Amino acid sequence: MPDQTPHLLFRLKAHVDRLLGWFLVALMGLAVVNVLWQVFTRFVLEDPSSFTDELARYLLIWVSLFGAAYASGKRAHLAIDLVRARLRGAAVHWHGIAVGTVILAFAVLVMVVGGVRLVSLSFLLGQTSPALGVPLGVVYLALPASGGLIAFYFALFLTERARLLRGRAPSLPVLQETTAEAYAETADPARMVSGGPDLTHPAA
Amino acid sequence: MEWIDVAVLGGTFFSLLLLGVPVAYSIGVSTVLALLLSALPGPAVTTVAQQMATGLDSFTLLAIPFFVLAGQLMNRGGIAKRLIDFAKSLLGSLPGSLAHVNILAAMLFGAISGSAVTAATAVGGMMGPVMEEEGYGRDYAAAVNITSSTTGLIIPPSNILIIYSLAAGGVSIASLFLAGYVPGLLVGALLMGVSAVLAVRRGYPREARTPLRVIGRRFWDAIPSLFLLVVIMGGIVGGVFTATEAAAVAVLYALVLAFAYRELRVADLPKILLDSATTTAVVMLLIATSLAMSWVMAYANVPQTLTAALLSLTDSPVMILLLINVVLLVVGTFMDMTPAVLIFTPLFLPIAVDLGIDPVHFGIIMVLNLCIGLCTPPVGTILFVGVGVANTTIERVIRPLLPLFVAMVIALLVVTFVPALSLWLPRLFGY
Repeated sequence: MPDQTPHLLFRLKAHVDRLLGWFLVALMGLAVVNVLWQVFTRFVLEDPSSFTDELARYLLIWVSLFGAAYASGKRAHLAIDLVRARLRGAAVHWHGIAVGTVILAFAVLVMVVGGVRLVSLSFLLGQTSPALGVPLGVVYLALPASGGLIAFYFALFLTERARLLRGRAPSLPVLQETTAEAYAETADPARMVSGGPDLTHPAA
Repeated sequence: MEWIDVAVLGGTFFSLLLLGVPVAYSIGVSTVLALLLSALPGPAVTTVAQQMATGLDSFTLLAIPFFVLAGQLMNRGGIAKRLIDFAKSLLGSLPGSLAHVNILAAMLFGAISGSAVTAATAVGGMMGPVMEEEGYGRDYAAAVNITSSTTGLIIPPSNILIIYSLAAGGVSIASLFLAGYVPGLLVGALLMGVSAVLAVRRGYPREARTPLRVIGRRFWDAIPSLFLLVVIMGGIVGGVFTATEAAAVAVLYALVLAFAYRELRVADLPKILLDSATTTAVVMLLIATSLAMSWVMAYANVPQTLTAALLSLTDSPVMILLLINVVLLVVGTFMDMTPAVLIFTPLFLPIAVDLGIDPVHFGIIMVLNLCIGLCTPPVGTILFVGVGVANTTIERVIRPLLPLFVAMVIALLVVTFVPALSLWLPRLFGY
């Protein structure tokens, strides 16, 4: 049974990636339509919409935080690889565990714990947005949710490192932070034009 | 100010950065640790969480994902290709023609898409192979592409100037955008000057002069793309749109154009939206944690102490501006542009204002300065992208980059000490 647990987790990652990906597509599309609607109501209908400014700001918070979680799952946050490039063998995995633990700690302690405290404080104070009447606690919920997702991804990455240290076969395609080469690869026009399998597969 | 706060903040940040923790997380973790010196754990994490969430609560910042999205649509939608063709017909007969074409196309496309990464990818991806074929050498072609791509960050519309406007406490975006034109063109012109000298020395080929008729036709083809600039800048400067609204209109415009050119299908859209959201989120997480760090610094009175320390050192504006520029050049080599602007604007702007420097002028100095850092190792986003697109290595492009760096530093000095270059255009429009 020991090999089946991680396998299940990594299939789970693919599902989380896909759901989160489509969620981001929807948020991003809605953000564009929302601001275009703001322009349209002001110039064409000459009756400026009252809620678009607020909705736009809240959508940005959500796109940013859920997008940050998605990017963490793809290891797309830029880092320097001065140390790792000089490591060999098991040291690479110990280094990966050190970096992953720092990120996991930040996600859990600041984004989840701090975020939950922030959300409950907002509810306690009864803060609601002026135009939409949404409780601000709901808007800020993106912070602990995103932190939870990042924690989930890094729990997976740490599990994988531990597996690799024990000499198991790799089961995750992306394990390292974006560096020079990887960054350019994601920005490669040929790759961009051919279209990626991003929405359907865990990580190409 | 407690020096220990700064020591913990800086020490943790650098250690984590060197260890290989992503920049955004390095900033976040060091901020929490610095705050823990004077606050209980519970309130400390809540404060950082709150600073992150409220920092993102900005209608203006929404312009960033929209410009990123518009840039991606343009990259896919055949707009870059038309701009390159236009630049080629215009500059083809100069010595070292293809280098000039790359620079002009990067300026045009960087301006339109508002993103240096997009410019380096789109223009470099198309120009690199052609330049190599004509004997320019892959590394030199990459170096030209890398440096010229940064001009799009100064020539409006520009995301980083929007971020500066936020960090500077609401300096007019229209004014900053107008201020960017002349310095941006200056950088482009100096890069072209260096390329011309090198071309004559190395005997790079020049193309046959393009007949006026062909130039006219290329220009005609490029008009729809160039008109986007008129819509965005006209809208913002004329006070018709906010920057965010202009960016949303740019998305719509680029979308229509890409469909009209038949370069894009509806099925491509989810992928483009997701890529834009991811790219944006990487920047936004940096913004969120940088704003929290900047808040902690203000909380520890760092800006006041720094101002006093600098002013006690010398009260010559020239010396202080040089000092600030040197510090920023060093900062720019290891720190990405976004956190650098967000963290160092609150530190340096008060000093600059004290010396009678216009915040708009200072913003242009700062961005131009950090553009140089984007092209230098160890952390240089544009350097990474440019090297990757050209399929070469950082070690190999450093040498061809050197003369181009010199041009950029000269541009920085001129822009720093001739305020009129930045302020003439905004003043002309009454800002």
